[in-house]
Amino acid sequence: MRKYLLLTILLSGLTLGARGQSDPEIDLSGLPQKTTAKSLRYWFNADANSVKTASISGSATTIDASALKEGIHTIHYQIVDSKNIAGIPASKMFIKVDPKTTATAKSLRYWFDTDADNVQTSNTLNGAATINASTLKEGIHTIHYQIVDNQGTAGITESKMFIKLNAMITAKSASLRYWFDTDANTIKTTTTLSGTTSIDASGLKEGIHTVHYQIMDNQGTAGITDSKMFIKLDARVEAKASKLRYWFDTNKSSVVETALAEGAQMVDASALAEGIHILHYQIIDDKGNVDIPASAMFIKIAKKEAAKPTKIRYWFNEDDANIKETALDLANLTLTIDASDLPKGTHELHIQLVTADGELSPAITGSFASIIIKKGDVNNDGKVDATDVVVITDYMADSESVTIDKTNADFNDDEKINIADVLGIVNIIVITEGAE
Amino acid sequence: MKKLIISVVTMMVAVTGFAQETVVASLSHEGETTMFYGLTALVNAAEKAQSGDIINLSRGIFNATTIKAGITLRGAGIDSDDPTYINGKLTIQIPTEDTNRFTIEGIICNSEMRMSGIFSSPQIVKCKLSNGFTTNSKTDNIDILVVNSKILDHFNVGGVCRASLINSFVDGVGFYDDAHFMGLNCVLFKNAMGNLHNSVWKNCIFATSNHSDAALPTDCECTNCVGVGYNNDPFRDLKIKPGCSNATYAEAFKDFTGSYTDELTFELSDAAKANENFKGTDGTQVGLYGGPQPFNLILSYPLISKMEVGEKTDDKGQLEVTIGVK
Repeated sequence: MRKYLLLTILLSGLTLGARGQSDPEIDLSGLPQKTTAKSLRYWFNADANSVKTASISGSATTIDASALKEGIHTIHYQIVDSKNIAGIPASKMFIKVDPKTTATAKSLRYWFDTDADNVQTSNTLNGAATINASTLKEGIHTIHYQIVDNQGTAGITESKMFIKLNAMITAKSASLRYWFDTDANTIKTTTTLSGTTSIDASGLKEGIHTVHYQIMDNQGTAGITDSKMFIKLDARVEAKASKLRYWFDTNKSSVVETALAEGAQMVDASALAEGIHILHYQIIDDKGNVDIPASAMFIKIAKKEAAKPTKIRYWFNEDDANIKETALDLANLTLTIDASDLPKGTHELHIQLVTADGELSPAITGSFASIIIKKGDVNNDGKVDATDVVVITDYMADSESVTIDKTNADFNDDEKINIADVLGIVNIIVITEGAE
Repeated sequence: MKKLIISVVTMMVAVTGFAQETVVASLSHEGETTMFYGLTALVNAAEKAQSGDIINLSRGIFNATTIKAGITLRGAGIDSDDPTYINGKLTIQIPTEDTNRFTIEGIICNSEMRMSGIFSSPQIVKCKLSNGFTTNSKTDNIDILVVNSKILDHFNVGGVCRASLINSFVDGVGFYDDAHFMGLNCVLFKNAMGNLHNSVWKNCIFATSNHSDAALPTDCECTNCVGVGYNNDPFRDLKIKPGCSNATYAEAFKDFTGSYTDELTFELSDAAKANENFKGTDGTQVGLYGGPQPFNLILSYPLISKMEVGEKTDDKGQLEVTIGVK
């Protein structure tokens, strides 16, 4: 927010003001006495009751226009000299620009009425831009203006209607009464006049109208009614939105221009990473005018539904070379897992879900004990093979130093470990190998 | 100190809980899966991982490591009875030429997570960073996305990084250098408010402590945000703050009174839900449960939420197992 507008009053203007106020000062000796400019009295538009004073220092004076709305205004000012004598009022028209716009605005283009060939430019856009209406005759006028951004692109044309009044009239006039067309019952009044005065034509439709106006003096006497015919045009109606220009975040180098679609306008955010982004966009009309940028925050997140698992895979301990898979029935999540190949003892079971496209879930692990009795698996390694024959034979030779699984070794369940068990185990191995 | 003791106790409880089970990291690379076991499983899996791979971590504790490729790291969620923990400083340092993004989801990091470098936009999704997050240096240039997560202690972003915080609880947001933040539907607690320059916040709740300087800087923008705390107005210096207001903890929250615990939901009070001041720009509530990504901890991948394994097999070696699937 710019609380204050810095209105630069050119040094030449100050000189003129100072010269003007010396006129009524006559020295007793008959020589004009030299005075210096001390302060500036000023007020805006018709609000002469709110005169403010600013001290003059150097070539620029800070003017407080913070209370004004964006739009066209007139500043009226008088130089007050070192003897506290105010000079003749002067007036300047200016546009107060939206502070958001000034962030990118570089200059102001403007022209009056239909004289689009005489476009004037003001580069002083620090919140307010001074308008030169000095060449206009008294009467109704329309100012058309565009903000030009720092890329040199002019924004959409805005238009405002105003009346320029004769400065001599305004010296003693107090207000302006006006009405439109035949609607004399809706008289509007602006108080205190000088230079230019905005009139409110916002309620009128586009088309031909007549404004009737009277100057009221400070005694309340109305002057002769004057009338002027005019056409109210809406610049926005004339220009048709045709394209959308947009870019994301701070990446203005990747500006996209696309034809405006009916209804919802799609923008291509496919190249953006997921996260929060800001879309900046401008409307371009069919005359190539580019609107002031607007912005909107949005998030891009790919909403991914977790794929349904179709299988489970499991393995024991760290034996992931022997992972087994089985179909998953989500209606029945109690499974029977075959652990018959495991030796007796404590084991770990690891399970993962598998989706149709092969995606895996984190594993979950649980512990259990295998109590399976595998006759012949003397060394309890989950298999019955020649090693078991060697181990049981060693045990029979030296039962103190060799450890065996006695339940598995007692093949015939006679509660003794002897040659009959060895023969039984050999028999199992022969049968098994024959079957393979 | 108190936080440290709580962390140590939590880790000890967790260690006790998992002491009898081996933790597993499965590394998926172009359809092939490799398993790694034990405390160093993540360290070993990360060493073998290539850009685009996925590492799934089981419940339990894994030692931290440095991630050097754009991989996806998935855990068992932060709300389960047995979550996945990473113990120690997890460093993410991915080469600039690696265009795959790093994603971490469903994991509790007991120590600080640190990112450094210039690389594709990493995501922190449905995670809890118990001991904060930080970027490393002024040259870091990373777009960090945090969604549905809880970040405690600090979230310090520097360099020219950008952080997007979505529907997350963040304790101690601070940023430095030329970094900037955007936040949507977050609860931000005990922040270094004065540091949040050029940040943009929508539908967020700024829960202040009694810091006298708990005000956002003038170049920060807030829309439909609520300040909650000790009569401080965190928006007092802002130029752009449409729809922002202030309230007390009791007016705003059902269970949050200004001290963090894991059990807190950060739900709005019933009165707040009925109050227009607590409506976001999209008409849903401000804070974690409004907006386009309401806070939830449902993971983006299937998960076995529980497993009941029979104590022992039958005498034929058959084992009964019941699982739960999320």
